[in-house]
Amino acid sequence: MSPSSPSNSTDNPEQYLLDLATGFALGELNDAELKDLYEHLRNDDAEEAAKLTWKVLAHTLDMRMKLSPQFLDTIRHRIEHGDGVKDDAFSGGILGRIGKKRAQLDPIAAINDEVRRPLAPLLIIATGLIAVVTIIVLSMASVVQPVVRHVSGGKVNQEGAAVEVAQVIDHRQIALGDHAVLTLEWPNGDMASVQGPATILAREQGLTLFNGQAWFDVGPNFHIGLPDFGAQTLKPSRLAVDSQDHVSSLGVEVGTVSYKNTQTSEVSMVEAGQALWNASHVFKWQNQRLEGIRRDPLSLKLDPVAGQWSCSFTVSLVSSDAVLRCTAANKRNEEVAIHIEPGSISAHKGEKELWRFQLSGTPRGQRRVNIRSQSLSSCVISMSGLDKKIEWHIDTPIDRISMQGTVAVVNVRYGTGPSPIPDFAFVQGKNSD
Amino acid sequence: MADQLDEWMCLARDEEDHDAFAAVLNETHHLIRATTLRECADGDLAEEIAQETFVRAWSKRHQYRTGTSPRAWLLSIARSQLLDYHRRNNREHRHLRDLIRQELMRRTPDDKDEWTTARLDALEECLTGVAGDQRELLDLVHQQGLTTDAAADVLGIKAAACRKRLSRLQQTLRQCAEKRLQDKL
Repeated sequence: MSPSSPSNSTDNPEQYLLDLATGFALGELNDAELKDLYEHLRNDDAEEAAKLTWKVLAHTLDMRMKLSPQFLDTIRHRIEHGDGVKDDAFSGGILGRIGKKRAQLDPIAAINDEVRRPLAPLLIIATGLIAVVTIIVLSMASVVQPVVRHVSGGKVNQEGAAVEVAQVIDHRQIALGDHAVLTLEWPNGDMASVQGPATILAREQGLTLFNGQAWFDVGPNFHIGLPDFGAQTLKPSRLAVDSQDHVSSLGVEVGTVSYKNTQTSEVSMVEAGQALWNASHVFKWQNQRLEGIRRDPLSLKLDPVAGQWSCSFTVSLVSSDAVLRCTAANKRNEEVAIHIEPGSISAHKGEKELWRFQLSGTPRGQRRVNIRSQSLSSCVISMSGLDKKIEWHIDTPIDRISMQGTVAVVNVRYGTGPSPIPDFAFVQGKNSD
Repeated sequence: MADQLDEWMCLARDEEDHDAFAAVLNETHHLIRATTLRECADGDLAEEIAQETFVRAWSKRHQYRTGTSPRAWLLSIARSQLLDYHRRNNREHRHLRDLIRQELMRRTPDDKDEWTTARLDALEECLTGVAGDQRELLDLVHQQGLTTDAAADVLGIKAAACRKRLSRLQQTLRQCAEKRLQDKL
């Protein structure tokens, strides 16, 4: 913490959070303080922390509006220096009102008529073409807004107002709360289902997913905007997209999608059965379900190049000495292990216990566990009874995960890329009204 | 007011009437700044986007269509700017501040009344009751744009104490404004 850190976090947690929110609104938090605020926004008190931070952000803006002329002054300053303004008229007007004058340009010689005349017919044709294209684009834009076909499972808001079935969606951002599902249908039959938590923006023949999961059943030329890349369907396609922490993955079930590779800057394709991660790695889109009870040691070979993978399963902790050991190893056989026991989860490196968290609820029983890659060398664990997500680090790319113990494991699912298209996607669609 | 704004915007477009555009700016900048903040959860970014919006609105004024709401038109420019920012802000540039913004965006407040001008009026009334060192601190940070560290130097107090003091003072002002709003309802 810097010498200017706000209140000590343990003295008065509420005041500390208020100080952090104030520092964030002013853009003054150092890394440690940013991390503290981020933790608050992901812990039990996340709702309250977010509410307070929003209040402080709004209040700080109010203070600036009431006390600072900087906003309007900056616009005038930018106009004075011609920043981003192609037309001088407004600059002159504003400068005139604030008592300044823009320097005049030197006059230039008139262009020879003989040189200028041949351009006239071309200019007339070009102007005509631009007018025709503009009319076509405007007439298309007015009839291509998507309609809400289905909303369920949680809050779906657009600027604070609840989104409702049959509503025509405009270009404003839509926020989906936890577990909420929203299905949109465009007039040409293109469909998208989004699952919260997510933030989206619907466009003509396209959708921008800032974060969250979405599935698409669309025709050619549908655009998908993501924080780290953009994609476009080249033929009728069914695909899944997942974007978390500004890193996205895309899986194509049917069809072909083009994208611009962030490393080579070349336009490349993702074909049916393939997945793409972070606009850089294309790999086989896998979704495996291992049916039945697994009592034998289970080993999952991961594809480190895949970038994104996930593994979920249900573990039955029946006896008091039951334990499931999940081991992640890299190619050098360096291992980190997670032990899941009745009432607790702990991490171990060799003989050393790194951390331990207590699980809420009845110690003996079934727990659903989800392990999802976060980067090449780390993953996130969430499970029923655990009130937070745990980040699990290993120094180099994880090569394999194995599970063994004195417990039964059921409903194992292992996959690369985004989650497959679920059954609930695209319900009530295809012009159902 | 909506018709009046449309009229001003058309004047700005057709006759390059600078005063008309300035009137649109004065009437709409609160809304654009507040809405942009709501959609990015970052005060500094919101201000940049809002400024860019007005500069672009002037340079593209010929694209304004008569009968369109200038507010909606300006908001669409602001959202386009925000979208460009998200596209540019790729993985290499993401950091904790962006992660915090992302968490906040998941919990955007529902209450639209949070962003009314009535709240600004209430705040103005509360600000009249702030004087002395407290007023100086608000002016240094919000009017002159100093950091709390720099404001602490001016006031001769420790930097940590300065941010605490500002945070408490703003909380008091916020509660005062909320109470005045409640009383008026």
